Amino acid sequence: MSLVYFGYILIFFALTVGLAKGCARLGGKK
Amino acid sequence: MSSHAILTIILYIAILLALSYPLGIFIDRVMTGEVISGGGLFRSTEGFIYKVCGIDPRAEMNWLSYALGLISFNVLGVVFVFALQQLQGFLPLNPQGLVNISPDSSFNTAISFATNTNWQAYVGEGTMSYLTQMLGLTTQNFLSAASGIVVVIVLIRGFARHSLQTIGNLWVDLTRITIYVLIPISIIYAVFLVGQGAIQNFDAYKDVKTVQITQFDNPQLDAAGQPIKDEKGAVITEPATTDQQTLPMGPVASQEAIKMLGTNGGGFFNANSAHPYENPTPLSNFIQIISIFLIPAALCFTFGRMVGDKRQGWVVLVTMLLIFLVVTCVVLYFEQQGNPILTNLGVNGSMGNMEGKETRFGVDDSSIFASITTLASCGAVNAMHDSFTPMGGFIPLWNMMLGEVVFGGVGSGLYGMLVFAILAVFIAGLMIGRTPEYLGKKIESYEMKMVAIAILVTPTLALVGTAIAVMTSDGVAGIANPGAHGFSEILYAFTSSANNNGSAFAGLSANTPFYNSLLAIAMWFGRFGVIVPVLALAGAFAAKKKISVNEGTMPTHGPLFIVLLAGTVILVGALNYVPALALGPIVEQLMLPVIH
Repeated sequence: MSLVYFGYILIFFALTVGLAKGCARLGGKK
Repeated sequence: MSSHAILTIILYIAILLALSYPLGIFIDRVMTGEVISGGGLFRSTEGFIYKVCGIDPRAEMNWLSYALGLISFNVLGVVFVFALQQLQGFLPLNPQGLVNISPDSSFNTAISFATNTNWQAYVGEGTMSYLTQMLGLTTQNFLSAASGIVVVIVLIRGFARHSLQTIGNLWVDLTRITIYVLIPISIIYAVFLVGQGAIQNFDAYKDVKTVQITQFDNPQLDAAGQPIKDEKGAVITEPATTDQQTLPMGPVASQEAIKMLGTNGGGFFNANSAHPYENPTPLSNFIQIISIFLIPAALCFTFGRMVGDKRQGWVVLVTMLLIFLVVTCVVLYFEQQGNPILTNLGVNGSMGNMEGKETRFGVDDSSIFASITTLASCGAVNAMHDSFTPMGGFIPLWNMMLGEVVFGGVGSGLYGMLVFAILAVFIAGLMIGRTPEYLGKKIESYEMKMVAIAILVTPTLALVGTAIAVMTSDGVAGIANPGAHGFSEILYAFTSSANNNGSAFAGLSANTPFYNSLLAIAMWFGRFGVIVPVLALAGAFAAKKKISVNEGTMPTHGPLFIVLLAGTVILVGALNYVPALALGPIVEQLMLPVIH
């Protein structure tokens, strides 16, 4: 069960990194 | 309004300004890398951290590297606090022998403390070992507060810099704000709290015999520890008596100090700042409300200094103070009126609505505390907001719906307010047909996209989360008070989580896998769904050229802009929630005369 929630943490991490990279791509600059 | 309340508010604002002004100057000096005289110990500690961690303090980052570093840093914090709770039964500093926390509660708490929300579905004294409280939760109180502050500092740097691709060094910023500001003030504050009667020890809990035999209604629990309800949804209780009481112990003062200073709000005990070991006296209560607004107010002065125009900081601060005064007077008015339903039952209502309030603090100090803790994203409580009158409870809820930008969380309040300032400038530009600019930076398409994300993410999370909860059996099962009040409990939980406040309306049984998971989503994306676009804004502004003031520039340092900014916050920030509010506290207020 703990692994399920640990997996959630990794998903949150991936989605947030995706948001940051998406914002960077939207502006065409970093 | 009572003379006590008026005097308290006047004294409060005077002391807040007197303390936050020098602190704002100090934060400016710390974050611009000035050498602080007499800070030899701090400097050597700072240098030691850079050396051990292999940090080059002169290396600067672009906004994306800064954001990825901050996200990774906070995810590591979540993993650490999650693991600590999962293993606390095997670890030291656990005199009560408390067992490991359930995975869903551990997950929720880890996200909660890493995001500066400090929503607490658990009962601190009943579940958390001293090691978890100190190493997990208190440490995150420092780090999440530091994370919020560095984001606003970077945004201010973005305004102050021009034609640069870099916005600072995350590790240097985090280290300096923690070492020079958060830790020293917290140490002094903790000693003060101990002097007032807050406890600080590692003792086992103490069993004492009470002076009187206490009669109470004991809720019947099912095998999962949840209250059993009858067919009408009311909790089934059985009469019980006791002459025994267990007094929880622990390292409370050290956690309490940063809990208030860092606008975290997560109490050592379930009763939070209503507990005499956390908030022993009216003086400690007053200092606690001062400390909630202290850093958010100080950062306004830091902002003015860093952008080279102190009036800009005053405009933001005055806007915050005006909104604070209005909402606090409203909650005081309704709480002082008392609850007509209780008065009708023969309860003496001359002292106002005392239900759910500590007699040490009374209606005035509880109402002022409630307004401050929900305007700031603190979330500590010294009274039960669930027991406020409908409109008295409406204000704490509405305060959070403003987006936690009126003082708000440490750092997060000011960066939220600056996002609203950009929006205000943009709206004004549309009205008069001028290219919007703020602090010498043109506001263009990319900046407005980031502003839109930052402003819309929290209402979306709060309202969609509430909708899911009221449409599912798992969501409805947590309600203790069916009807409009039950809806308010759910709406409050999601609003509090998405805006990283963390206070609870009470009455909602939220320590279930459903709520622990859904509220964790609201907390995490309510935090980083705003931080990421704000950092993107910082990067975009830093890269822009600074344009000089001309006849087409809208002044942002005068009374007109205060009105415009306050109007934008109220209209854009709060109007999103009006339909939901109409289903909760507003309909409850309208029903009062009917019940009466």
